[in-house]
Amino acid sequence: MLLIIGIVAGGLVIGLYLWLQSKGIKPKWYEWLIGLIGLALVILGIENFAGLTVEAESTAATLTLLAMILPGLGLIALGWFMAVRRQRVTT
Amino acid sequence: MTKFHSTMSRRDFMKSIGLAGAGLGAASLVAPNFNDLDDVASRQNGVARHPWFVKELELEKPTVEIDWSVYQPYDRTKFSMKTATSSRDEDLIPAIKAARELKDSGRNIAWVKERFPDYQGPSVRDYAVVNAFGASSAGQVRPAFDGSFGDDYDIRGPEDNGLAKWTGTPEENLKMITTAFRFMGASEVGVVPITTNTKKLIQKCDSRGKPYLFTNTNVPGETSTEWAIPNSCQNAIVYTTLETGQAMTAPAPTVSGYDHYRRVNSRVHAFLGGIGWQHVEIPSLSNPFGTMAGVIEHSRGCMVGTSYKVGNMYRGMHRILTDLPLEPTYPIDAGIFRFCHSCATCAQSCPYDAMPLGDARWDHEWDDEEADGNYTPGYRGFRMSNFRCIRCKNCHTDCPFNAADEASIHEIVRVTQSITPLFNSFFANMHRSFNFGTKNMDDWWEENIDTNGYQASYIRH
Repeated sequence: MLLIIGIVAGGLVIGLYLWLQSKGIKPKWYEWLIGLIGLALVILGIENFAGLTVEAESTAATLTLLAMILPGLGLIALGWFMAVRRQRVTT
Repeated sequence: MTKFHSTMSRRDFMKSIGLAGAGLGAASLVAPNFNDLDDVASRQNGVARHPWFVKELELEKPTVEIDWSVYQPYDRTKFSMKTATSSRDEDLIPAIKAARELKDSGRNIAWVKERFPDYQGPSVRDYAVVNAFGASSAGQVRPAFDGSFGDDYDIRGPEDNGLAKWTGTPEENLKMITTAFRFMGASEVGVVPITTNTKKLIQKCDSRGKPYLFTNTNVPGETSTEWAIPNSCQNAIVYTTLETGQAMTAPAPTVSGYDHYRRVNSRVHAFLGGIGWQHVEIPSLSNPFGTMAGVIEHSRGCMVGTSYKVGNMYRGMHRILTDLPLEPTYPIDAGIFRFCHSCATCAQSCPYDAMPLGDARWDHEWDDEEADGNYTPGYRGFRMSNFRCIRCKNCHTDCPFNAADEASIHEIVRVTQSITPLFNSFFANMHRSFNFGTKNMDDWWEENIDTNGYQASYIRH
């Protein structure tokens, strides 16, 4: 499971990099870092949501969506917007 | 003729690879629970009885074909099944006689040796582990001080199989008893050498005042003046037994835990006697020995020690004194004792306010118990109020370390808190906020319970 998730995530990141390159967007290293931390949180959140569901910890599983996945998505969005806005300012 | 070339750009190609990958990942993440509407209809309480590749058939129509007009109930007054498991019919049925003669000639072992040429044959420990289950199936027989079962059950020793007692190195013996005890239902196995200090962890005397004493006797037993323990018993085997973890409520799991540990206790005594070594049974369970053996840490749980693996879910903490040479196991620091100082979840959830809320201390937290001297001094630890604790067992179910291992967050917490206490309060708060711990017992009836109600992570080693 984690292997497949890793392959998919890796593919997404590579695809994103190439797409950004084609658009002329060059994120800074810290923007990449914020986005990757966000992606890691999302993946961890999904894995824990599934695991806690198996453990019959339904409340904990639901709260994992709020505690991990939402912040992860937020960080991804933050890294994205930081890169895009900086690109707009420079062009 | 024009040369064929793709009109798809590299950009579009990578885009499609990424989209395909995302789709594959999403599909794998959401494993299909239903193959068709029949699967949906076959669910009972939302839980599939069988995996997707198993079809359910009609009632009375299994895969084996039955002619119900022919099939009749078995009439035991007319005849009983003739089998080679009994010598009763061997004079009537030549095939039975032949099979039994083949068995008596050693066919069982010969067949194994044909298959595994380096198999040495059944050893004294093989006989011991098989026969051990006779002790528990004899009906909750309990071992006496010397580990025997009196008239209830005879332990088959090495001499009964024409063999010498088992010998092995201390390391081999520890591996052997760990394997055997787990097979018989135990969880962790440890060894505490008997020294001047660890002798103090054994009761001074029984409730009548008769002392437990190490003496030069060869055979443990009760005399007119003492419970005599052979000096040769230089080790205490410590082993743990579980209560069920999936219920996360009380008291059914702890009651099941008692039933389980009594069966296991019978088996381990029969096994140790079966390999020809002493096995002295000191009454009552012992967290001190568990702590010394490294199978638990002393914790705020007080009455139970806490394991980094199963939390407060060990219902039995047994020790058997033996002269079997054994490699010792060592006390551990998994961060639990330190974590308890920040957590106190078990104490906060006690319905009788009988659990300590303060730090570990040398004396008792309750003035009345301190004044009464109702505790064992000599260690800085957590002491519950025996005046107030009615043994409801709710403290077992709220410990953060009870967690299973399906979700990675539990291992992250276990490892992090063992390295640094910085996040302990945060972890304890999250444990409570996320509603881990004790569950509504009504909900348990709707859950998909595993055999014996054990968490898979508890029984996996």
